[in-house]
Amino acid sequence: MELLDTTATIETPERVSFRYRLAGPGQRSVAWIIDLAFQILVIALVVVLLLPLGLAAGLEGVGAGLQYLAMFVVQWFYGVVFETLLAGRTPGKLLLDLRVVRVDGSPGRFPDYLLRNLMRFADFLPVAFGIGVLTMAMDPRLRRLGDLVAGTVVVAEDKANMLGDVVLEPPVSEAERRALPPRIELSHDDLQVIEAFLRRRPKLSDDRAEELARLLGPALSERTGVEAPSWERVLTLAWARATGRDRPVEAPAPPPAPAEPAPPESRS
Amino acid sequence: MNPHLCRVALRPRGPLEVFDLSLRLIHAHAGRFLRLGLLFVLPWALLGGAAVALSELDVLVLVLLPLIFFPLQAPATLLGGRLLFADTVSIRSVVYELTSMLRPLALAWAWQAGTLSLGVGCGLVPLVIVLPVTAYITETSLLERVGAARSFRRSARLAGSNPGIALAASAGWVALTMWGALVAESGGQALIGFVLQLGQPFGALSTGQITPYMIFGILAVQPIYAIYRLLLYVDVRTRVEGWDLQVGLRAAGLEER
Repeated sequence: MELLDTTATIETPERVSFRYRLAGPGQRSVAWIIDLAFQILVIALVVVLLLPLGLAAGLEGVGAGLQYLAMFVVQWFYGVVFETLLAGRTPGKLLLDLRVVRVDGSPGRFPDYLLRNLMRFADFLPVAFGIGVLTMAMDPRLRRLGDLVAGTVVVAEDKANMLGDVVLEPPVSEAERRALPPRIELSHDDLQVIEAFLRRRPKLSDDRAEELARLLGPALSERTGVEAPSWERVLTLAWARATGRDRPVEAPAPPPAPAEPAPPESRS
Repeated sequence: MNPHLCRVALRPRGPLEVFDLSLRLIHAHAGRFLRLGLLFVLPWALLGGAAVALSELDVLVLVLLPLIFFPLQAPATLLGGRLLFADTVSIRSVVYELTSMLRPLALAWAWQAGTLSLGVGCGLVPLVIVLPVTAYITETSLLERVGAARSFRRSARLAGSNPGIALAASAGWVALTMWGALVAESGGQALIGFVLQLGQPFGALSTGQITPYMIFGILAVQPIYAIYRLLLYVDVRTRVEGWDLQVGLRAAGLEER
Protein backbone atom coordinates (compact mmCIF):
# COMPACT_ATOMS: atom_id res chain seq x y z
CA MET A 1 0.00 0.00 0.00
CA GLU A 2 1.34 3.43 -1.02
CA LEU A 3 1.61 5.70 2.00
CA LEU A 4 0.49 9.28 1.71
CA ASP A 5 3.55 11.49 1.48
CA THR A 6 4.88 14.62 -0.13
CA THR A 7 6.93 12.59 -2.57
CA ALA A 8 6.50 11.42 -6.14
CA THR A 9 8.08 8.48 -7.92
CA ILE A 10 9.52 8.63 -11.41
CA GLU A 11 10.40 5.63 -13.52
CA THR A 12 13.09 6.18 -16.11
CA PRO A 13 13.00 4.46 -19.52
CA GLU A 14 15.60 2.05 -18.07
CA ARG A 15 12.97 1.09 -15.46
CA VAL A 16 14.89 2.67 -12.64
CA SER A 17 12.59 4.30 -10.11
CA PHE A 18 13.57 7.20 -7.98
CA ARG A 19 11.72 9.38 -5.57
CA TYR A 20 11.75 13.11 -5.10
CA ARG A 21 10.17 15.34 -2.51
CA LEU A 22 7.53 17.71 -3.84
CA ALA A 23 7.23 21.33 -2.83
CA GLY A 24 3.71 22.67 -2.43
CA PRO A 25 2.26 26.02 -1.43
CA GLY A 26 3.69 25.82 2.08
CA GLN A 27 7.31 25.79 1.01
CA ARG A 28 6.85 27.77 -2.19
CA SER A 29 5.02 30.65 -0.51
CA VAL A 30 8.05 31.42 1.65
CA ALA A 31 10.33 31.26 -1.40
CA TRP A 32 7.94 33.60 -3.21
CA ILE A 33 7.98 36.10 -0.32
CA ILE A 34 11.79 36.13 -0.41
CA ASP A 35 11.71 36.63 -4.19
CA LEU A 36 9.16 39.41 -3.81
CA ALA A 37 11.41 41.20 -1.33
CA PHE A 38 14.29 40.78 -3.77
CA GLN A 39 12.22 42.17 -6.65
CA ILE A 40 11.16 45.17 -4.58
CA LEU A 41 14.80 45.77 -3.77
CA VAL A 42 15.79 45.64 -7.44
CA ILE A 43 12.94 47.95 -8.48
CA ALA A 44 13.78 50.41 -5.68
CA LEU A 45 17.39 50.39 -6.80
CA VAL A 46 16.37 51.13 -10.38
CA VAL A 47 14.09 53.96 -9.21
CA VAL A 48 16.85 55.49 -7.11
CA LEU A 49 19.25 55.31 -10.04
CA LEU A 50 16.93 56.45 -12.83
CA LEU A 51 14.99 59.23 -11.11
CA PRO A 52 17.95 61.60 -10.66
CA LEU A 53 19.13 60.70 -14.14
CA GLY A 54 15.84 61.83 -15.67
CA LEU A 55 15.68 64.95 -13.50
CA ALA A 56 19.23 65.92 -14.38
CA ALA A 57 18.49 65.58 -18.06
CA GLY A 58 15.28 67.56 -17.65
CA LEU A 59 13.32 64.55 -18.87
CA GLU A 60 11.10 63.57 -15.94
CA GLY A 61 8.81 61.63 -18.27
CA VAL A 62 11.65 59.52 -19.63
CA GLY A 63 12.82 58.68 -16.09
CA ALA A 64 9.31 57.62 -15.06
CA GLY A 65 8.90 55.63 -18.26
CA LEU A 66 12.14 53.80 -17.65
CA GLN A 67 11.02 53.02 -14.12
CA TYR A 68 7.78 51.47 -15.34
CA LEU A 69 9.73 49.55 -17.94
CA ALA A 70 12.07 48.29 -15.23
CA MET A 71 9.11 47.24 -13.08
CA PHE A 72 7.58 45.38 -16.00
CA VAL A 73 10.83 43.62 -16.85
CA VAL A 74 11.52 42.63 -13.22
CA GLN A 75 7.99 41.39 -12.58
CA TRP A 76 7.71 39.35 -15.74
CA PHE A 77 11.23 38.10 -16.29
CA TYR A 78 12.71 37.80 -12.81
CA GLY A 79 11.71 34.15 -12.57
CA VAL A 80 12.69 33.29 -16.14
CA VAL A 81 16.15 34.83 -15.87
CA PHE A 82 17.05 33.37 -12.50
CA GLU A 83 15.61 29.94 -13.19
CA THR A 84 17.56 29.80 -16.46
CA LEU A 85 20.80 31.03 -14.88
CA LEU A 86 20.56 29.02 -11.66
CA ALA A 87 19.26 25.77 -13.20
CA GLY A 88 15.67 26.01 -12.03
CA ARG A 89 16.13 28.16 -8.98
CA THR A 90 15.41 31.75 -8.00
CA PRO A 91 17.13 33.28 -4.95
CA GLY A 92 14.08 32.37 -2.85
CA LYS A 93 14.09 28.79 -4.09
CA LEU A 94 17.85 28.63 -3.59
CA LEU A 95 17.47 29.58 0.08
CA LEU A 96 14.76 26.96 0.60
CA ASP A 97 16.51 24.25 -1.45
CA LEU A 98 13.75 24.13 -4.06
CA ARG A 99 14.25 23.55 -7.77
CA VAL A 100 12.09 23.50 -10.88
CA VAL A 101 12.50 20.32 -12.91
CA ARG A 102 10.53 18.68 -15.69
CA VAL A 103 7.93 16.11 -14.61
CA ASP A 104 10.20 13.29 -15.77
CA GLY A 105 12.89 14.54 -13.40
CA SER A 106 15.15 15.94 -16.11
CA PRO A 107 16.45 19.52 -15.82
CA GLY A 108 14.15 22.26 -17.05
CA ARG A 109 14.92 24.29 -20.17
CA PHE A 110 14.42 27.94 -21.11
CA PRO A 111 10.99 27.42 -22.81
CA ASP A 112 9.74 25.59 -19.71
CA TYR A 113 10.82 28.40 -17.40
CA LEU A 114 9.37 31.01 -19.75
CA LEU A 115 6.00 29.28 -19.97
CA ARG A 116 5.58 28.63 -16.26
CA ASN A 117 6.53 32.21 -15.39
CA LEU A 118 4.20 33.74 -17.99
CA MET A 119 1.37 31.76 -16.42
CA ARG A 120 2.22 33.12 -12.97
CA PHE A 121 -0.20 36.01 -13.46
CA ALA A 122 -3.07 33.62 -14.11
CA ASP A 123 -2.11 31.68 -10.99
CA PHE A 124 -2.07 34.87 -8.95
CA LEU A 125 -5.76 35.61 -9.67
CA PRO A 126 -7.91 36.82 -7.99
CA VAL A 127 -5.30 37.70 -5.40
CA ALA A 128 -2.51 36.03 -3.39
CA PHE A 129 -2.22 33.03 -5.76
CA GLY A 130 -5.84 32.02 -5.16
CA ILE A 131 -6.09 29.97 -8.37
CA GLY A 132 -2.52 28.71 -8.02
CA VAL A 133 -3.06 27.35 -4.51
CA LEU A 134 -6.38 25.75 -5.44
CA THR A 135 -4.75 24.12 -8.47
CA MET A 136 -1.88 22.84 -6.32
CA ALA A 137 -4.37 21.44 -3.81
CA MET A 138 -6.09 19.50 -6.57
CA ASP A 139 -2.96 18.18 -8.26
CA PRO A 140 -1.25 15.08 -6.82
CA ARG A 141 2.13 16.62 -7.69
CA LEU A 142 1.26 19.96 -6.12
CA ARG A 143 1.59 21.87 -9.41
CA ARG A 144 0.13 25.27 -10.16
CA LEU A 145 -1.31 26.19 -13.56
CA GLY A 146 2.08 27.36 -14.85
CA ASP A 147 3.65 24.02 -13.96
CA LEU A 148 0.83 22.09 -15.58
CA VAL A 149 1.20 24.06 -18.81
CA ALA A 150 5.01 23.90 -18.89
CA GLY A 151 5.22 20.26 -17.75
CA THR A 152 7.34 21.15 -14.75
CA VAL A 153 7.25 20.40 -11.06
CA VAL A 154 8.93 22.08 -8.10
CA VAL A 155 10.91 19.71 -5.93
CA ALA A 156 12.60 20.09 -2.58
CA GLU A 157 16.18 18.94 -2.72
CA ASP A 158 17.23 16.77 0.18
CA LYS A 159 20.55 17.59 1.66
CA ALA A 160 22.90 14.72 0.96
CA ASN A 161 23.06 13.32 4.47
CA MET A 162 24.83 9.99 4.66
CA LEU A 163 23.54 8.06 7.63
CA GLY A 164 26.37 7.16 9.94
CA ASP A 165 26.79 3.85 11.68
CA VAL A 166 24.37 2.99 14.45
CA VAL A 167 26.11 3.54 17.77
CA LEU A 168 25.28 0.87 20.33
CA GLU A 169 25.41 2.37 23.77
CA PRO A 170 26.82 0.53 25.66
CA PRO A 171 28.49 -1.75 23.10
CA VAL A 172 27.76 -5.46 23.22
CA SER A 173 29.94 -6.97 25.94
CA GLU A 174 31.75 -10.26 25.68
CA ALA A 175 29.39 -11.87 28.23
CA GLU A 176 26.30 -10.70 26.31
CA ARG A 177 27.78 -11.98 23.06
CA ARG A 178 28.37 -15.42 24.51
CA ALA A 179 24.81 -15.57 25.85
CA LEU A 180 23.27 -14.71 22.49
CA PRO A 181 21.86 -17.45 20.25
CA PRO A 182 24.27 -18.30 17.44
CA ARG A 183 21.91 -17.10 14.73
CA ILE A 184 19.00 -14.67 14.78
CA GLU A 185 16.84 -13.99 11.77
CA LEU A 186 14.87 -10.77 11.63
CA SER A 187 12.55 -9.66 8.86
CA HIS A 188 13.43 -6.64 6.76
CA ASP A 189 10.68 -4.59 8.47
CA ASP A 190 11.92 -5.60 11.94
CA LEU A 191 15.48 -4.68 11.07
CA GLN A 192 14.38 -1.32 9.73
CA VAL A 193 12.20 -0.37 12.67
CA ILE A 194 14.79 -1.45 15.27
CA GLU A 195 17.51 0.44 13.43
CA ALA A 196 15.29 3.55 13.36
CA PHE A 197 14.69 3.08 17.08
CA LEU A 198 18.43 2.78 17.82
CA ARG A 199 19.23 5.83 15.71
CA ARG A 200 16.63 7.97 17.47
CA ARG A 201 17.37 6.55 20.92
CA PRO A 202 19.53 9.52 22.08
CA LYS A 203 16.59 11.87 21.52
CA LEU A 204 14.16 9.80 23.62
CA SER A 205 13.90 9.74 27.39
CA ASP A 206 14.84 6.46 29.11
CA ASP A 207 11.24 5.80 30.16
CA ARG A 208 9.87 6.46 26.69
CA ALA A 209 12.54 4.28 25.06
CA GLU A 210 11.67 1.37 27.35
CA GLU A 211 7.96 1.94 26.74
CA LEU A 212 8.55 1.75 22.99
CA ALA A 213 10.86 -1.26 23.23
CA ARG A 214 8.20 -3.12 25.21
CA LEU A 215 5.97 -3.12 22.13
CA LEU A 216 8.28 -5.54 20.31
CA GLY A 217 10.71 -6.77 22.97
CA PRO A 218 8.62 -9.54 24.64
CA ALA A 219 7.57 -11.17 21.35
CA LEU A 220 11.11 -10.93 19.99
CA SER A 221 12.62 -12.34 23.16
CA GLU A 222 10.19 -15.25 23.10
CA ARG A 223 10.95 -16.12 19.48
CA THR A 224 14.70 -15.61 19.44
CA GLY A 225 15.57 -16.48 23.02
CA VAL A 226 17.45 -13.23 23.59
CA GLU A 227 17.36 -12.22 27.23
CA ALA A 228 18.47 -8.97 28.78
CA PRO A 229 17.71 -6.79 31.82
CA SER A 230 15.58 -4.38 29.74
CA TRP A 231 13.43 -4.64 26.61
CA GLU A 232 15.52 -1.95 25.01
CA ARG A 233 18.59 -4.15 25.46
CA VAL A 234 16.71 -7.13 23.99
CA LEU A 235 16.10 -5.12 20.82
CA THR A 236 19.68 -3.90 20.74
CA LEU A 237 21.19 -7.37 21.18
CA ALA A 238 18.86 -9.06 18.70
CA TRP A 239 19.57 -6.40 16.07
CA ALA A 240 23.31 -6.54 16.76
CA ARG A 241 23.43 -10.32 16.33
CA ALA A 242 21.21 -10.33 13.25
CA THR A 243 23.36 -7.72 11.51
CA GLY A 244 26.71 -8.97 12.77
CA ARG A 245 27.27 -5.81 14.78
CA ASP A 246 27.86 -7.78 17.98
CA ARG A 247 31.42 -8.54 17.05
CA PRO A 248 34.08 -6.54 18.84
CA VAL A 249 35.15 -3.54 16.88
CA GLU A 250 38.64 -4.10 15.68
CA ALA A 251 41.04 -1.46 16.77
CA PRO A 252 42.45 0.36 13.77
CA ALA A 253 45.79 -1.04 12.77
CA PRO A 254 48.68 1.14 13.86
CA PRO A 255 50.26 3.06 11.02
CA PRO A 256 53.21 1.23 9.58
CA ALA A 257 56.49 2.26 11.09
CA PRO A 258 58.60 4.33 8.74
CA ALA A 259 60.86 2.04 6.86
CA GLU A 260 64.42 2.29 7.93
CA PRO A 261 66.69 3.33 5.16
CA ALA A 262 68.31 0.31 3.66
CA PRO A 263 71.97 0.08 4.43
CA PRO A 264 74.02 1.06 1.49
CA GLU A 265 75.01 -1.90 -0.44
CA SER A 266 78.62 -2.54 -0.03
CA ARG A 267 80.39 -3.07 -3.14
CA SER A 268 83.44 -5.03 -3.05
CA MET B 1 -9.49 0.82 10.99
CA ASN B 2 -6.05 -0.56 11.67
CA PRO B 3 -4.32 1.42 14.44
CA HIS B 4 -1.04 -0.32 13.69
CA LEU B 5 -0.74 0.90 10.12
CA CYS B 6 -0.62 4.63 9.56
CA ARG B 7 -1.68 5.72 6.05
CA VAL B 8 0.66 8.70 6.17
CA ALA B 9 4.43 8.26 5.93
CA LEU B 10 5.60 9.22 9.40
CA ARG B 11 8.86 11.10 9.70
CA PRO B 12 9.90 14.44 11.16
CA ARG B 13 9.07 17.25 8.72
CA GLY B 14 9.23 21.03 8.74
CA PRO B 15 6.01 23.03 9.31
CA LEU B 16 5.94 24.14 5.67
CA GLU B 17 6.16 20.57 4.40
CA VAL B 18 3.45 19.60 6.86
CA PHE B 19 1.15 22.14 5.20
CA ASP B 20 1.83 20.53 1.81
CA LEU B 21 1.09 17.13 3.32
CA SER B 22 -2.20 18.40 4.71
CA LEU B 23 -3.23 19.38 1.17
CA ARG B 24 -2.31 15.88 -0.01
CA LEU B 25 -4.46 14.35 2.72
CA ILE B 26 -7.42 16.58 1.84
CA HIS B 27 -6.93 15.81 -1.86
CA ALA B 28 -6.82 12.06 -1.19
CA HIS B 29 -10.20 12.24 0.59
CA ALA B 30 -11.65 15.26 -1.20
CA GLY B 31 -15.20 13.88 -1.33
CA ARG B 32 -15.37 13.28 2.41
CA PHE B 33 -13.94 16.66 3.31
CA LEU B 34 -16.33 18.34 0.87
CA ARG B 35 -19.32 16.60 2.46
CA LEU B 36 -18.07 17.55 5.90
CA GLY B 37 -17.66 21.15 4.76
CA LEU B 38 -21.20 21.23 3.34
CA LEU B 39 -22.52 19.85 6.61
CA PHE B 40 -20.60 22.01 9.06
CA VAL B 41 -19.18 25.06 7.28
CA LEU B 42 -21.88 26.01 4.80
CA PRO B 43 -24.69 26.64 7.33
CA TRP B 44 -22.44 28.88 9.43
CA ALA B 45 -21.14 30.66 6.35
CA LEU B 46 -24.68 31.33 5.13
CA LEU B 47 -25.74 32.48 8.57
CA GLY B 48 -22.72 34.73 9.03
CA GLY B 49 -22.99 36.04 5.48
CA ALA B 50 -26.69 36.83 5.90
CA ALA B 51 -26.06 38.56 9.23
CA VAL B 52 -23.44 40.76 7.63
CA ALA B 53 -25.42 41.44 4.46
CA LEU B 54 -28.83 42.09 5.98
CA SER B 55 -28.01 43.87 9.21
CA GLU B 56 -25.68 46.41 10.70
CA LEU B 57 -24.18 43.77 12.94
CA ASP B 58 -21.07 43.16 10.87
CA VAL B 59 -18.60 44.12 13.59
CA LEU B 60 -20.46 41.96 16.11
CA VAL B 61 -20.37 39.03 13.67
CA LEU B 62 -16.63 39.47 13.24
CA VAL B 63 -16.12 39.53 17.01
CA LEU B 64 -18.28 36.44 17.54
CA LEU B 65 -16.78 34.57 14.58
CA PRO B 66 -13.84 33.05 16.53
CA LEU B 67 -16.34 31.28 18.77
CA ILE B 68 -17.42 29.03 15.92
CA PHE B 69 -13.88 28.26 14.78
CA PHE B 70 -13.62 25.47 17.36
CA PRO B 71 -16.79 23.62 16.27
CA LEU B 72 -15.79 24.07 12.63
CA GLN B 73 -12.33 22.65 13.13
CA ALA B 74 -13.24 19.73 15.40
CA PRO B 75 -15.09 17.57 12.81
CA ALA B 76 -12.20 17.95 10.35
CA THR B 77 -9.70 17.06 13.09
CA LEU B 78 -11.66 13.95 13.96
CA LEU B 79 -12.13 12.90 10.33
CA GLY B 80 -8.45 13.53 9.57
CA GLY B 81 -7.39 11.64 12.69
CA ARG B 82 -9.47 8.61 11.68
CA LEU B 83 -8.24 8.75 8.09
CA LEU B 84 -4.66 8.41 9.34
CA PHE B 85 -5.48 4.80 10.17
CA ALA B 86 -8.35 3.94 7.85
CA ASP B 87 -9.10 4.12 4.15
CA THR B 88 -12.78 4.83 4.60
CA VAL B 89 -14.51 6.73 7.36
CA SER B 90 -18.15 7.69 7.11
CA ILE B 91 -19.26 11.22 7.93
CA ARG B 92 -22.07 9.71 9.98
CA SER B 93 -19.57 7.95 12.27
CA VAL B 94 -17.61 11.19 12.66
CA VAL B 95 -20.74 13.10 13.66
CA TYR B 96 -21.74 10.32 16.08
CA GLU B 97 -18.30 10.20 17.66
CA LEU B 98 -18.17 13.96 17.93
CA THR B 99 -21.50 14.20 19.69
CA SER B 100 -20.46 11.48 22.13
CA MET B 101 -17.38 13.54 23.07
CA LEU B 102 -19.03 16.92 23.11
CA ARG B 103 -18.92 17.45 26.87
CA PRO B 104 -15.17 16.87 27.47
CA LEU B 105 -14.44 18.75 24.26
CA ALA B 106 -16.51 21.75 25.32
CA LEU B 107 -14.76 21.74 28.68
CA ALA B 108 -11.37 21.68 26.95
CA TRP B 109 -12.36 24.59 24.72
CA ALA B 110 -13.64 26.51 27.75
CA TRP B 111 -10.29 25.87 29.37
CA GLN B 112 -8.53 27.11 26.25
CA ALA B 113 -10.72 30.19 25.91
CA GLY B 114 -10.28 30.93 29.60
CA THR B 115 -6.50 30.69 29.38
CA LEU B 116 -6.38 32.88 26.29
CA SER B 117 -8.67 35.49 27.85
CA LEU B 118 -6.91 35.44 31.19
CA GLY B 119 -3.42 35.55 29.73
CA VAL B 120 -4.08 38.26 27.20
CA GLY B 121 -6.90 40.13 28.96
CA CYS B 122 -4.92 40.68 32.12
CA GLY B 123 -1.91 41.63 30.08
CA LEU B 124 0.06 38.91 31.83
CA VAL B 125 1.17 36.89 28.89
CA PRO B 126 1.26 37.97 25.25
CA LEU B 127 -0.91 36.13 22.75
CA VAL B 128 2.14 34.84 20.92
CA ILE B 129 2.96 32.71 24.00
CA VAL B 130 -0.55 31.74 25.14
CA LEU B 131 -1.81 30.72 21.71
CA PRO B 132 0.87 28.07 21.03
CA VAL B 133 0.52 26.58 24.54
CA THR B 134 -3.11 25.70 23.88
CA ALA B 135 -2.51 24.87 20.21
CA TYR B 136 -3.11 21.11 20.36
CA ILE B 137 -5.98 21.03 22.84
CA THR B 138 -8.54 19.85 20.26
CA GLU B 139 -6.21 17.05 19.13
CA THR B 140 -5.40 15.86 22.64
CA SER B 141 -9.09 15.91 23.61
CA LEU B 142 -10.40 14.18 20.50
CA LEU B 143 -7.63 11.75 19.62
CA GLU B 144 -6.21 10.86 23.03
CA ARG B 145 -9.64 10.96 24.68
CA VAL B 146 -8.47 12.54 27.91
CA GLY B 147 -10.27 14.98 30.17
CA ALA B 148 -10.11 18.75 29.82
CA ALA B 149 -7.40 19.37 32.42
CA ARG B 150 -5.22 16.57 31.14
CA SER B 151 -5.64 17.56 27.51
CA PHE B 152 -4.57 21.08 28.44
CA ARG B 153 -1.47 19.75 30.20
CA ARG B 154 -0.67 17.47 27.24
CA SER B 155 -1.05 20.34 24.81
CA ALA B 156 1.19 22.58 26.91
CA ARG B 157 3.78 19.79 27.21
CA LEU B 158 3.84 19.09 23.48
CA ALA B 159 4.03 22.81 22.72
CA GLY B 160 6.79 23.28 25.28
CA SER B 161 8.83 20.42 23.87
CA ASN B 162 8.90 22.05 20.45
CA PRO B 163 7.83 25.71 20.68
CA GLY B 164 8.78 26.43 17.07
CA ILE B 165 6.20 24.02 15.70
CA ALA B 166 3.52 25.27 18.12
CA LEU B 167 4.26 28.81 17.01
CA ALA B 168 4.01 27.67 13.39
CA ALA B 169 0.57 26.26 14.20
CA SER B 170 -0.59 29.66 15.44
CA ALA B 171 1.11 31.59 12.64
CA GLY B 172 -0.42 29.17 10.13
CA TRP B 173 -3.88 29.94 11.46
CA VAL B 174 -3.33 33.70 11.09
CA ALA B 175 -1.85 33.36 7.58
CA LEU B 176 -4.47 30.91 6.32
CA THR B 177 -7.39 32.90 7.73
CA MET B 178 -6.11 36.12 6.18
CA TRP B 179 -5.49 34.35 2.88
CA GLY B 180 -9.01 32.86 2.91
CA ALA B 181 -10.57 36.26 3.63
CA LEU B 182 -8.58 38.00 0.88
CA VAL B 183 -9.12 35.39 -1.82
CA ALA B 184 -12.84 35.03 -1.09
CA GLU B 185 -13.29 38.79 -1.01
CA SER B 186 -11.48 39.30 -4.33
CA GLY B 187 -13.15 36.28 -5.92
CA GLY B 188 -16.59 37.33 -4.73
CA GLN B 189 -16.17 40.91 -5.90
CA ALA B 190 -14.86 39.70 -9.27
CA LEU B 191 -17.80 37.34 -9.74
CA ILE B 192 -20.55 39.69 -8.61
CA GLY B 193 -19.06 42.97 -9.77
CA PHE B 194 -17.22 42.11 -12.98
CA VAL B 195 -18.79 38.92 -14.31
CA LEU B 196 -22.42 39.49 -13.29
CA GLN B 197 -22.11 43.29 -13.45
CA LEU B 198 -24.06 43.74 -10.21
CA GLY B 199 -21.68 46.24 -8.65
CA GLN B 200 -21.00 45.95 -4.93
CA PRO B 201 -24.31 45.04 -3.33
CA PHE B 202 -22.61 43.93 -0.08
CA GLY B 203 -20.00 46.66 0.08
CA ALA B 204 -16.28 45.95 -0.17
CA LEU B 205 -13.42 45.25 2.17
CA SER B 206 -11.43 47.98 0.40
CA THR B 207 -13.94 50.55 1.71
CA GLY B 208 -13.66 49.21 5.26
CA GLN B 209 -16.79 47.05 5.18
CA ILE B 210 -17.10 43.46 6.27
CA THR B 211 -18.60 41.42 3.45
CA PRO B 212 -20.26 37.99 3.25
CA TYR B 213 -17.46 36.85 0.89
CA MET B 214 -14.90 37.56 3.55
CA ILE B 215 -16.93 35.72 6.21
CA PHE B 216 -17.25 32.76 3.85
CA GLY B 217 -13.51 32.76 3.16
CA ILE B 218 -12.60 32.91 6.83
CA LEU B 219 -14.90 30.00 7.69
CA ALA B 220 -14.03 27.90 4.64
CA VAL B 221 -10.32 27.66 5.54
CA GLN B 222 -10.92 26.52 9.13
CA PRO B 223 -11.23 22.78 8.28
CA ILE B 224 -8.05 23.06 6.16
CA TYR B 225 -6.30 24.64 9.11
CA ALA B 226 -7.62 21.87 11.36
CA ILE B 227 -5.94 19.25 9.14
CA TYR B 228 -2.72 21.27 9.11
CA ARG B 229 -2.71 21.50 12.91
CA LEU B 230 -3.54 17.80 13.21
CA LEU B 231 -0.52 16.90 11.10
CA LEU B 232 1.65 19.32 13.10
CA TYR B 233 0.47 17.48 16.20
CA VAL B 234 1.46 14.19 14.57
CA ASP B 235 4.79 15.72 13.61
CA VAL B 236 5.57 16.98 17.09
CA ARG B 237 4.63 13.60 18.58
CA THR B 238 6.88 11.94 16.02
CA ARG B 239 9.78 14.18 16.96
CA VAL B 240 9.33 14.20 20.71
CA GLU B 241 7.76 10.84 21.50
CA GLY B 242 8.85 8.75 18.53
CA TRP B 243 5.27 8.17 17.45
CA ASP B 244 6.42 6.72 14.14
CA LEU B 245 8.54 4.24 16.10
CA GLN B 246 5.56 3.39 18.29
CA VAL B 247 3.43 2.55 15.26
CA GLY B 248 6.26 0.60 13.61
CA LEU B 249 7.29 -1.33 16.72
CA ARG B 250 3.71 -2.20 17.60
CA ALA B 251 3.10 -3.49 14.08
CA ALA B 252 6.34 -5.51 14.26
CA GLY B 253 5.36 -6.84 17.69
CA LEU B 254 2.02 -8.05 16.39
CA GLU B 255 3.74 -9.63 13.40
CA GLU B 256 6.10 -11.52 15.73
CA ARG B 257 3.16 -12.93 17.69
